[in-house]
Formats: sequence, C-alpha cells, structure tokens
Amino acid sequence: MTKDYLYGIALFAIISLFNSCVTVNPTMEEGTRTTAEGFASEPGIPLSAVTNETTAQQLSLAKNQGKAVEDAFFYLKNHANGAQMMAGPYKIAYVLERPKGWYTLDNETLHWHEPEGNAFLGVLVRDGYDGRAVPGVKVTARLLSPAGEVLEEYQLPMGYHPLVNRHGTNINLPSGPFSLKILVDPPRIRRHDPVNGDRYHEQVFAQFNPITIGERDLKEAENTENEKEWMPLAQNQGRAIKDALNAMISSTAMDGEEIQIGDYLLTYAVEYAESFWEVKDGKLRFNMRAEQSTEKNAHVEVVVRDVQTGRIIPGFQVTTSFYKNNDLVEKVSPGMMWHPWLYHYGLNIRVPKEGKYQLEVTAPAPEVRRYGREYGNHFAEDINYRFDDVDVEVGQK
Amino acid sequence: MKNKNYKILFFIASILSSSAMSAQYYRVYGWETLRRGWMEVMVWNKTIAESDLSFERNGNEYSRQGLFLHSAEIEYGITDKFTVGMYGDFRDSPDVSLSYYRFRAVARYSLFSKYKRFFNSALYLEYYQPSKEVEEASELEMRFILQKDLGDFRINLNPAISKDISGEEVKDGLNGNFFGGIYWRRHYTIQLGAEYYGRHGELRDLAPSEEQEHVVFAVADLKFFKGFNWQLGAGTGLNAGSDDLILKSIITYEFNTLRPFRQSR
Repeated sequence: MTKDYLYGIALFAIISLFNSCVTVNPTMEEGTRTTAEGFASEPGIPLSAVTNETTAQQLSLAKNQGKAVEDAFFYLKNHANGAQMMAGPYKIAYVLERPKGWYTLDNETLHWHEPEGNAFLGVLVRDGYDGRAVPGVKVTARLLSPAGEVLEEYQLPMGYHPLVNRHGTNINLPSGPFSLKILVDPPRIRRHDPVNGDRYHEQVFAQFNPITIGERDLKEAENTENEKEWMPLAQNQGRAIKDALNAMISSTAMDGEEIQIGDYLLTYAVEYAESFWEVKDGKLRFNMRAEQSTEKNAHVEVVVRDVQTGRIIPGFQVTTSFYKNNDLVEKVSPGMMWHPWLYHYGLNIRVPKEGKYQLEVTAPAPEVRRYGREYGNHFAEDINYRFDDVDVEVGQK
Repeated sequence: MKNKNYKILFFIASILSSSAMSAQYYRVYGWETLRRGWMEVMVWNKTIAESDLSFERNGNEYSRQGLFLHSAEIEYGITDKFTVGMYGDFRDSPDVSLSYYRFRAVARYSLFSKYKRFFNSALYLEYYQPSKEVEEASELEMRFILQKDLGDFRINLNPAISKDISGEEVKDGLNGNFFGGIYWRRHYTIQLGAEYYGRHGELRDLAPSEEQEHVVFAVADLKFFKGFNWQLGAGTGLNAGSDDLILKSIITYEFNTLRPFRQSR
C-alpha cells in the first residue's frame, strides 16, 4: 500500500510538471538575434494573460494605448529618421531629428534652453506585447564607429514631447557613418498582477545598422506647420488612456474621479489592497503580504494627464493623504506602478475602517524636460487638491 | 544568506515536528486557492493529549489518548481557481506503532470573483481511501466554503456533507458536518483565531449528542517569511463524544513552480 501511495505522488508530480497550461519559454531574454534593422538581445514577447486581476477586455485597452503610441512613432519615422526592432521584451525605436530646445522648471518658473548639438536623439521603449511605452526604464545610447569603438555615450532622460513622450537628448552626430547601440535597463518600479507583472528583468540592447545621416538631412516632425497631422495622433493616445481610466473607475475601482486643475487632468481611484512585484536585492520578487493580512486594506491610484492631449505626464512625485473629519489617517507617497492596462502612481494603504474620506493629492510640478517652444510651456504649477467623499471599501484582492 | 538559513531551519523543523505531533481533520478552508502553477507542501500534525475515547484496529480497542496523526500533502494550482492535491495520512500511538493509514485526494474550486457576492464562495471535494489494513470505508466529503471579510476579521464557514462509499455503512445516508472559523488578520506575522468543528452524524437520523463531535480550537497563524504559514492550535471537546484536549500543527509552504515570465500560454 505504501508503494501505491508513492506511485500516486509520482503521478501527481508528473501531472503537475507537464500540466499543459505551463510550458517553458527558454529563449526569453537570453542570447542575441540578428534583425532586419541590426541585431539585438533575443526577442521574446512578454507573457500577457488573463488573470484574476486582468480580463481579456482590459488587455485590449492596453493594446489600444500601445497602438496609439505606435501610430505616433510611425509618424515620427516617416517625417524624420528612425527605425525600430524587438529586443528582449521591448520594441526599441530611435528617431533622429533636428536639435530641440526645452523648458525646465527653475524656482517655480519655466526656463527655456536653446537647442544644442547637431541632432536630437529620441528613443521609445515599448512593451513587446501591448506596445505601450514602458515607464521607469533607464536608456543609454552609444554611438559606435564602423570598427565598433564607442565614439559617444549619452544617458537619455525621459521627456515630455508634443506628440509622444520619449527618452532623448541633443547629441553631436559623428561626421561619418556610425552605429547606434541602445541599452535599456529594466525599470525598478513595482508591478501589479501576479502573472503579467513578472516582466523586464535584464538589461537588453538593440544595435541598429550603420546610419549615414548629415545635419542637413534632419527634420523636425513635431512642428506647428504639421500640427493638424500629428496633434490627432497625440490626442488618440490620450483617448486610449481615458478609456482605460473610465474602465478602472466604472468597473474595477470602488471610487474614482477626474478633475481639471490648470494644465492637469488629475484622476484618483481607490481599490482593495493588491499584491505586486517589486525589486528587492536586485531581483524581481512577488510580494503577497497585501493579500494575507489586513495590514493594508485599500489601494490608492493617481494619474496625471495633460489637458491638451490627455497623455500621462511623466516625472511627478505624488503624495496622497487620507483624512477623516479633517484628521489625517494615512499618508503615502505612491511611486509609478506598472499595471497591465493602466499605468499609475499607486500604493497600498490602511484606513481605520471603510467609509467616506477626504483624499488630498499633492505633487510638485514635474522635473522633466518639456520640449518644444510652443508646446512645452506648461506644467509649472504644483498640484494640491482635496477630493471629498471618497468612498473607501476595505479588503484584499 | 541569513534569511536563507532561516528558511532551511524552518523547513527542517517542519519535517522533524511531523514525527513528534500530528494532524488531520481540523482545518477550516478559505476561498483562496493556489495560483496557477503554484504548489503547496504541507505537514499536518495532531495529537490527542487527553481523551476518554477509544479507536478500533484489528478487532482490538485502543485508547485515543496519546494518539498522533500525521499527514503530508502537496497541492497544485491547475488554474487560478482550481487546485488539486493529495495527502498521505499516518498514525501513531503508545499502543500501535507508526503506520500508513489512508490516502486522500482533494479538489477545490473558487467560485466567482472576490467580493462580488455577499460571501466569497468555493467548493471542496475530498476522497478518502483508507489502507486495506485499517478496514474502514472509503468516503467522499463535500464542503461548501463561504468566506466573509469584516474589517480586520475573516469568517470562514465550511458546511459539509460526507458519505461512505464502501463497506457496511454504504447504505447509510449523508452525514452532516459543520466547520467554521473566525480570524483576526490585523497583522501579517501573527494572526489569532477560533475554530469550531462539529460532526453531527447521519442527517436523516442525527446521532445522539454524546455520539456527535463538537470541538473548539484557539489557533494562531504564524508567517515568518513569504509563502510560509504555521498554524498552531489547541482544541477542547464540548461533549462526551469528543476528545478532551487536542493539539494541532499545520505547516504550509507555497511557492511558484515556474516563474510567469518563463511561461507561455
């Protein structure tokens, strides 16, 4: 009989291992592959599955956002110079344009920086499955000689652009042909969803075929003359995000609302506390604490978009404070959270009990560069707004 | 590194403790099932510290006092809502040496999404196959799992029916059981609770109260690291048909067998 028992265990183990639902994807983020545009880290479309936190409909909301970003990229590619390839879990694209000026915030006023260098290098890092720009990645660009020597290396900060937000900076183009190697370090932000959040682990690269381009060949894609062409593409991105926000507020969150404050569209949503992936000791780990106790019993989400196009504005440091009868009960600074269909600033919170609260959202004006003389002259104001009657139900997803 | 040693220590402790104590019936289930591709290993231990009751084996009667019941289990998440598992149960007492006792197969399915109904509900089916030497009947048990979160408290109710499917009692009707627990989940590391286990006998002809079993437990769930849970409990019988003092230990460790980013669907 003991033998029967052991046979049973063995059978169970075999069924578990060969369960048809789970198969190994051995090439993910390993090795390299030559592509039509150059060569790159071995591509692998990240797993995007229906889970207890994501429906098929919600995944399509993410794809709609990705499609809108892709349309914008192709506009840039067709009106300037650029290329795209799959690398690891990303679609990595570059665009070379004329040098660009930008605004930064100094002492609460916007300060204009004249264009410098002889070209603007923009890089768009998108998810290989849904096509949305991936928040929080660190992008480095190397210009290589035909012999492979590093001619220049640039760290590309994230910037607000009129058409599509991207990493980039003004650079000095070499006089002859050069290769462009883009290195992408994975984001260190938290990620929702027990399955879909397990993505972006390793540094990947994309090295594009030799580029021969002179200063005179460079163009400016996001200019005022072409505004009628590209502005709808920017607004399409905003609409796709708005669709996801509406779905979040109407079908997933317990409460939520969007208001306009100056240049900003500010949205909050509150949900049950949720588990998430987080980088700990340099590795991505799944944190299940939220679902195994009431230490945290709700989750707050904040999205800040620009009024003109409805796209998410990068670079905020958001703080949320919950008040009950004007007494502070919880204050957290939620970082950017990867989400399978709606990026947001988010964190689990604890409130004493379910009920109505006031939610105060504060954020200094973002630190990012705002590109474009006409279009970047925005976002100088801090955010400080209190939502009343925020309905918080407590529980764990 | 220290953390790793800590985990190994607890794993070894769980194995060793299985030879010192024992567990079996006394567990109230909640709505949650394992995630797809996750596995749970469990060691249950239960000991009957004080009892006037006896059990029968090979025609002989032995005291239940000092009886240890041990159980080893693995469960696996087929989907996010459907978990299957199997157990091997063993028993040991001052009069009877450690021996394999029975095999159990379980399946749990969580219904609906969480908080979408008044109760989070799930179904639980368990099949018992005793060892031939034990001369007991095979049995099927079905539990309806109802879960409700009220602030920091969680209530789990497990009304259950069971039926012998072999042996002399196969002609008997359904037996009715009721298990339930309330847990204070305010903190992650330690969670306290109280549980009730009632076995009422055949539903169409309830057993006299002295033959029913009514036991209440005080339990503490300890979580020292991710995936690990150790439930310790002390129970006392409320009537003559129950053991007087029962101690239980349930150690579980759940883990992901394959990282999602290495899976394709």
